[in-house]
Amino acid sequence: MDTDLVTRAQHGDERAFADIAYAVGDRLFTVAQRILRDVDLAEDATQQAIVAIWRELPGLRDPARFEAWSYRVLVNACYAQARTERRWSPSLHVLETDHGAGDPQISVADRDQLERGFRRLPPEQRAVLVLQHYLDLTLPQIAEVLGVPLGTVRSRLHYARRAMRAALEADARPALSGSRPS
Amino acid sequence: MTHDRDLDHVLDRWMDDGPTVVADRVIAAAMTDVHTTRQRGARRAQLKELFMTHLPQPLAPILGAVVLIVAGVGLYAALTGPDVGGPDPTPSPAATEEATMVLGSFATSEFAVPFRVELETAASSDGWAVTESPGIVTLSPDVNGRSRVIVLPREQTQLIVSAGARAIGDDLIADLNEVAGIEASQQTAFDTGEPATVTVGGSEVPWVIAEVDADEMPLFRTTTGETVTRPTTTESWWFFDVPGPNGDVLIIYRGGDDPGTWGGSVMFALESLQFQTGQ
Repeated sequence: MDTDLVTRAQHGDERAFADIAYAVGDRLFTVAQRILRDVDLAEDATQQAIVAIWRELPGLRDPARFEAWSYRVLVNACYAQARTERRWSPSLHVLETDHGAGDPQISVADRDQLERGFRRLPPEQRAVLVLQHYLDLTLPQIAEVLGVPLGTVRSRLHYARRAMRAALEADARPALSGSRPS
Repeated sequence: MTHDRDLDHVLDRWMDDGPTVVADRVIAAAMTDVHTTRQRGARRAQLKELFMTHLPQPLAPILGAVVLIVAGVGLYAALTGPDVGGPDPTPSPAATEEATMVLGSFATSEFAVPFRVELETAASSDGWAVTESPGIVTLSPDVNGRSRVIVLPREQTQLIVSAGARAIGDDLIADLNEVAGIEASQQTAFDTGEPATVTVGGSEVPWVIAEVDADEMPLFRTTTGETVTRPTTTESWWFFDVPGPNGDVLIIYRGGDDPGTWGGSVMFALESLQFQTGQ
């Protein structure tokens, strides 16, 4: 991100901030959608995050750290969405995955299980997974983005991965049992 | 069993799926909101620039120490009285019984440069001022007779608060969130070493000592009033959450023994002071 733009926006330049918003909008939305697994919620979170970024921007000490800082704002917006929306209920959510699309190396069944397993995760664990696997951030970077200790990141990641692994293996179990002679 | 590498691969690929472009209407709606949203701390940011431009750099750590140390001395003087140990504040004769804070002048010789802070009479609106070292920081109560001091280096505050300083009240959370760069939140779950309530000067005082390891991990320890340190800790940060005589809260947040640790805190201390005194 152009630090000059950030600096100008910090001083109240709305035009500069508009440039920033359009530049980062896709990225914020993409991350939000991965965390929330819902386009509508992700759009709401993105909108809220952009407004929050504007509101809090004067407090950003180092404009060069805008990107990491904006992720933190976004993740907080995702948390807010996740906790206020009834649609968050994992047991009722209709999967949106288009089973005919997506990575052909991941089976339809696996995608379903991933989706279900992911939706059962609390938003804090979702965020860690997304930051690691979608943004390819290191654990210290994730800790910085989220503003939590590294140990907390490790812990969240541990539980999230365990849950996702269990989800995938749950997918495998019926197939095995189905192959048994009756 | 799903191996780690398999799981990583699957998660990587799975997360690549999905939309990557946001609808223009979302950004447009956000910008409409932006147009009617006031930026927080914009005035403080301007003040920061002003100070960074005009204050001699060597003065910065000193001023930070003035604010933090002396305010801490004042706090203890206010709450503990003469029978309680600690630093050696010298309240001025100007203190009045009607004051909502213990007013007067407090000094400390804890650092090489003598510092002094003056708390003026209640309802004064003179605001605050900083003079050259040895500095005098004048803290004036607001029109409601309050004189709260929140001195919180921004980055460390984020660290502390996010790590679970549960002793913070909801109103203070709200106040903290008004300070640019501070993201305060109430924690609902705590480690076994959660902070304890201790009695200081007859008042129940929740307080936290946070030890910040140089690596990354802040640790909170229950305290009975003693400073808790760990051998591996390179800096210690004290976080006080203290109800003042009039029910207000005065927080002092101070760094370790190395005066250099104050440097980055100066402007934020000043900002916080300025914020809290409403000037």
